[in-house]
Amino acid sequence: MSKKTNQTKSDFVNLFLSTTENDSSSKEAAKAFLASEGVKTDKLISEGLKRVKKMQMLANASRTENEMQAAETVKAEATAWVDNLLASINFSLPELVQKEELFMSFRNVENLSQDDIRNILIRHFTLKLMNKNNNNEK
Amino acid sequence: MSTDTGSQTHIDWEEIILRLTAFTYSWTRGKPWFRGEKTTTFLMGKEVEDYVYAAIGKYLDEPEKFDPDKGELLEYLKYNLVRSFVANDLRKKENNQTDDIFAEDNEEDEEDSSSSYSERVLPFTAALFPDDIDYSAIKEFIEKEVQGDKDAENIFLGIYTYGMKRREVIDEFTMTAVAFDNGMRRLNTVINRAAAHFNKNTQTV
Repeated sequence: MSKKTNQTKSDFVNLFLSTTENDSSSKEAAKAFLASEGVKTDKLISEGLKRVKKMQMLANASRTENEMQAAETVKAEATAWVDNLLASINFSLPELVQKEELFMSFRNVENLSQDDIRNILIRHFTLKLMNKNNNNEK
Repeated sequence: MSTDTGSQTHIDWEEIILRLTAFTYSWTRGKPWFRGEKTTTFLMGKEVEDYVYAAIGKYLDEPEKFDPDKGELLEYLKYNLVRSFVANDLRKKENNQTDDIFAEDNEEDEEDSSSSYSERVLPFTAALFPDDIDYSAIKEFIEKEVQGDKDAENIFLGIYTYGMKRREVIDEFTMTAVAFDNGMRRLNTVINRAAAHFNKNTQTV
């Protein structure tokens, strides 16, 4: 043991925290301590689990809503990008297919309407932007 | 307690609820040390349970902020809970008894800090203890009170003087876990007596 020389305020706070750690050191210790404080532990657990379950559901719902909102924003961005692209006089679909590695045959492309091509490109760029955003968050 | 903390899938919430509530009750029971017997500045009119579930809620909303490399989920929750108490207290004008304001609530510090969650609880708790108490006198008071109670004496020596943890005290002084728990309980009674003794003239609201 290496002896510490400065018995200061932090030493005392450490002692105080040790008592709180001991009261919550295990499930059994926590139960015994709470019972000594007059807390009904069975009720605490049953109501607590319900509360946590509700909070988990709310958190999940909020997360889903945020993801949907984010997807809508990204889709709007992709739509604007595709419309600009299609309106450009230099636009070449075969070049874009090659550059973006879009796997569709030229025979199929020829049979697609302008709206079909627009929708395919919007879906492609939406997914691309979402992947990019997800990678940036990591 | 939990085998996959990131996904929240295997968390033993029963254990978390019990241990976090016990910690909070025990922590707030030390309030005579903070601002006198009657002060409730850190509770802000809420119940202890409100803070327990606020800490759990914060985790459920942003689980990605919990870093398992810095400790267990329970330690993270304790740390968040204590930070809430301290943040409440620091916003009160009666907080003029400590210089430990470095522990002020700061999200950026939380992100950047590399220390473990359990290490971070100490300075936040210290922020609520007045500076003008004679801590050497408290040490002497406790030493005198536990004299003759071998286990309580050893526990006090191990934790206070050598900064040991529960397991280390048990191993160092070759005592059983039950003897430690009972000795700790008696030491706690002495600490509470010390709180009453040293704060009798400084109990303010």
